[in-house]
Amino acid sequence: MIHFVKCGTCFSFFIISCLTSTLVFAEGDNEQFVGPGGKEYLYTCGPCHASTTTGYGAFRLQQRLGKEKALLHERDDLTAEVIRVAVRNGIGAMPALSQVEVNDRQLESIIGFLTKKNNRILFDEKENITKRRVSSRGFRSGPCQGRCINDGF
Amino acid sequence: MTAPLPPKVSSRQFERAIKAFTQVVGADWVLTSDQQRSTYVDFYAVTPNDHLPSAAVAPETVEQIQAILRIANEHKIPLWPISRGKNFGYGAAAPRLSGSVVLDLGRMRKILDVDQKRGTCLLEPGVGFFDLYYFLRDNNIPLWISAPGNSWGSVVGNALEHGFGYTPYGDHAQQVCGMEVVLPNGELVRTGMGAMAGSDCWNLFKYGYGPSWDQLFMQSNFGIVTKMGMWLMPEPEAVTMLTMEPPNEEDIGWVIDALTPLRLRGIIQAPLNIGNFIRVAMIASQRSQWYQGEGALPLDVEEKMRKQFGIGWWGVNVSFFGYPESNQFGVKLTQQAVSQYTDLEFNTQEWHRGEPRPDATQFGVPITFPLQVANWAGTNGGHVGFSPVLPPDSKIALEQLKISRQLFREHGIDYCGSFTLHPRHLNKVNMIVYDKDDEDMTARARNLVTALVKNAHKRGYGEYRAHLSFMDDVAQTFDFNNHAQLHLNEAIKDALDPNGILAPGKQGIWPKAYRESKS
Repeated sequence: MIHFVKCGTCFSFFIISCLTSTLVFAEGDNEQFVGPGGKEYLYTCGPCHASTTTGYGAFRLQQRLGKEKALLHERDDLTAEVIRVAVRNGIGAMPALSQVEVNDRQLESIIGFLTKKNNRILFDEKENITKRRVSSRGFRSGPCQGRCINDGF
Repeated sequence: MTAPLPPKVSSRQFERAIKAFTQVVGADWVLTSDQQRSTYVDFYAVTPNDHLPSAAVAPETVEQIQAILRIANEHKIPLWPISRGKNFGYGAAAPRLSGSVVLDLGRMRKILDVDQKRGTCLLEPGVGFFDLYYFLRDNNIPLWISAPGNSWGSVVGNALEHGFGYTPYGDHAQQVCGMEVVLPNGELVRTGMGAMAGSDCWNLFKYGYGPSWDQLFMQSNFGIVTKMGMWLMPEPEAVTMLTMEPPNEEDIGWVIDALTPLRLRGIIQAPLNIGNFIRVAMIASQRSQWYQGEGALPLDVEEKMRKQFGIGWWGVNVSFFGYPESNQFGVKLTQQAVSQYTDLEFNTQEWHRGEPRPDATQFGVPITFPLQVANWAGTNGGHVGFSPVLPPDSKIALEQLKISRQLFREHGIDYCGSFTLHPRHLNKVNMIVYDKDDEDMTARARNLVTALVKNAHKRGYGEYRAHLSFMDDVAQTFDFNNHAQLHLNEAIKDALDPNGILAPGKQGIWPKAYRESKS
């Protein structure tokens, strides 16, 4: 068995950039990333967004917006535009992704995967609609060159 | 963003080349719009306008690469090959020479072979660390990758740039065994045993017969690597990890002296990265939370950060890979070595085969979150690396630490550094982190790198890798016998690439046509 050792800081869970390490395990395997867009999401966005213990994007979102908004695939408040702009323009310290890394067809597929929960909430869970609308207020519409959506992404 | 043309190429000539590229790869894979080109700039640039691409073209096959080279030679179009373009801190996907066409090999993303019995794989350049990790894991293949601190990039590209990871296979260039390379004239070559048609030993024996050429294509502009054999580590039965947090800045001296003999003897098997609390703070928080004044963080603010996090000055993580019994031998020797210098004791953690693997690069798991450091100085963060090679010696390490800390302070940039211990050298890794929205800070960061290069050179220390903007500066520091090695590189460059189309200026190697126009 792994023998856990508590270190001085909750930030000490990773090896390379922190001091010493308490071992932390992955948040699950890849089985949740199936169906249209799921695999594309895992391979294109997953390195940074699939896990808060390995990924820069998830780590950063957890730091800024809290644990419940850390993982994009668990969110129900992302819009197609937010995703599209962030991917193509970059956002914060996230670089823009090229057509080679994710082409427009794959990107639309990823958008479908990441916004699937939004639709389910709209149609199946009416009591949550209000909640969802409130949580969506952070987004702004219109051309915003990536950085103006910092508050919501 | 105006598209820069390649030097000495008319817009008409350029358009003809683009049209010809389109005939080879199809319109979808010739990227010329402003938005498309913007995905190939250095997102973390310290010199944002110096390395702009004119276009990008993305082949899927060797034959398409050969056709692209024919066109580039005909129209004198400089090409800048990238694997996945994630060379962060060193220029990412951007070309050294503005106006170059980025040759994006990201579509060539096949894992061509994994030999479980012999611990080898054969990869195309677009295969990322995560791709290979998922493949091995999902197919229950008990081989581990060695991933760098930011593992978003290409396995092939990282090895070609002399990247390193944190398992016993952490010196990635040393794991390379056999390449397939397209030369600038379009000729296809396989190195090592691959030079024999149909050889089963291509990825098993490095040297082949006669001169070995794999190194020729690393950190160079002599060919385009289209396939690479790599060795993979068999999954160990157990990993035992020792951790310790020495409390004082100067403790790095005894840490290096205590552990170097064990690294040299192979007792400590993997590159050993020794980070400090400042790097922790840079990842876990932002500068504005601690200090909003001018200049570098004052020492008392640094100390306040350390106390608040409740951690030591340095973090030492020593991992042993093998069997529980063999690991215990390493643990014992390491504890003995360190006990000569300190009363501190190691914490111990042990993993056994069959248990879930922790999310850490020592366990062959790729990560990306060290990129978080870019957010330290502002939300539009940039960073650039400077990592000189030193002898592994306490006196030298402490001296270089003091000088670099002073230079950072003089330039008003917060110090961020670590050491990586190898068997016979010490890499002093400096991260220069800045806010791209702050022009003055970005300029100071640029000047700091120049000062660090000069300072290291004064003592005879050089970088193992350099950002695009400093490739010439660093090449100039390798100055034995009036830069004889650079002249050798130039002679090879001119012989293999007479039109100078492949990655002009990479690692300071300029083809003849560009050397003449520079002088």
